[in-house]
Amino acid sequence: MGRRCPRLAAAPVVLGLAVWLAAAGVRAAEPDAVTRGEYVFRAAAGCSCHTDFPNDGPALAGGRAIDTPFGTFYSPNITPDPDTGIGDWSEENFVRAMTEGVGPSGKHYYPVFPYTSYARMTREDLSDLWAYLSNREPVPRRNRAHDLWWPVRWRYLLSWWKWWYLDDTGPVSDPARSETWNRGAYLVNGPSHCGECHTPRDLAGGRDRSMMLAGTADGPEGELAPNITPAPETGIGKWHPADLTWLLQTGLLPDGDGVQGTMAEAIDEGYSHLTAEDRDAIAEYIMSLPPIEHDVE
Amino acid sequence: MLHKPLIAALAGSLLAMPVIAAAQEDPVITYRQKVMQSIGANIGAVSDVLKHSLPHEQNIQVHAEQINRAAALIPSAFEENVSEGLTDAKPEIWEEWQEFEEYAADLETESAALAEVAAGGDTADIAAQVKQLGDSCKQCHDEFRKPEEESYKN
Repeated sequence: MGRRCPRLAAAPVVLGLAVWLAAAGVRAAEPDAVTRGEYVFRAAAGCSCHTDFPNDGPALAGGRAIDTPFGTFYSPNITPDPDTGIGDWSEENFVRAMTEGVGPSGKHYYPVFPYTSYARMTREDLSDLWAYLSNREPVPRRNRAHDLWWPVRWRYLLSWWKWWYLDDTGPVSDPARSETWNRGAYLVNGPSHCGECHTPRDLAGGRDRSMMLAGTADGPEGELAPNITPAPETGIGKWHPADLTWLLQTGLLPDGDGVQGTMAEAIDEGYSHLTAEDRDAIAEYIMSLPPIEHDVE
Repeated sequence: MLHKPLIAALAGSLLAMPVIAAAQEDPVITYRQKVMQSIGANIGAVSDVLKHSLPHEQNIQVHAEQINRAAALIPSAFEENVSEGLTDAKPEIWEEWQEFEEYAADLETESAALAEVAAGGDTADIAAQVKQLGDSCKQCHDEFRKPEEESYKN
């Protein structure tokens, strides 16, 4: 893992340049689906679970080990390689995978793939994201089988799981709230999928709906995912909204220390590339949520 | 009459607690922690100015210079190999000392760059360089500092 960091440090510069060039190229015209899709990709934390950063793996070619209380999952290849990636998928296949957690062959996906959040994305964003992913460099790399505890291996049980835990209402908005708040709610609950890591899960691996964003000590890869509700004692209730915006922009916490692990990746690969307006929207929404005192430290 | 031995025992146990805690403190560790905290405090101060648009933008250069000078102290502060006790420093620091020094030198470079950018005064450029500086901290922490889950503070 040692040498990944200098490369990561250079990544924002290269990406910044690429985004600038892309922006310069399309300024006169409407941004095309690939350009819009790149933005959705950033909002979705750069889909960084699909890149094996700990072992310097190729971008989006999967194979990253994700340790969970249910065993170790290995993320699949989502490059457009037709044999080992998703190059032979249709857009419909992709949308169904993202919103229903079902593969082209009808196979159920485990909810470590956060379709419970992506089900709330708009069809436009999903189409654009598909355009962007289809435009990536294909990388031939075979998927690795998950290594799970025995009861979890029965995939057909997942249809029952979904019946209980998967909400198929799609994108929701609250007309009583501001446009900014609704944009924040869309990002947090949809593409940015904050609640997937920051919510404790029950014995069946479903998110505890009474504890949304209240943090867990059993986050992915064994990480501690802090309570990000505005609870004053155990959450971020003492933070100013600008503290959250700044964190999403720079990865720096209010005390000057930096975030670690997968959140740092999500910021580098994703949230730091969002517009200031979108980061503000996320902060406004999160700081408006009901505080839940839940000590996970 | 109050029970003297009992009072003595209670007082003794009260006094003993901080003594035990103090006995565990190692000045080699606490010194280098303070050096690192001074860097964090200056980054936090720069962050406050930028994220709240405080009227202290002219101070950012000074904060950057303070980070720069503290970064130069890192190698000597960590020279003595102590990775046991109340510390998050990993033993790998002393196994890969040259790399550790290179990371400290990188922090000097990035903080000098921040001081320079701050003199120019463009807020977006300053914020971008603060992120670069944070990434410099992170690359060393990723390798040589225990993650939060394994911290001695837990």
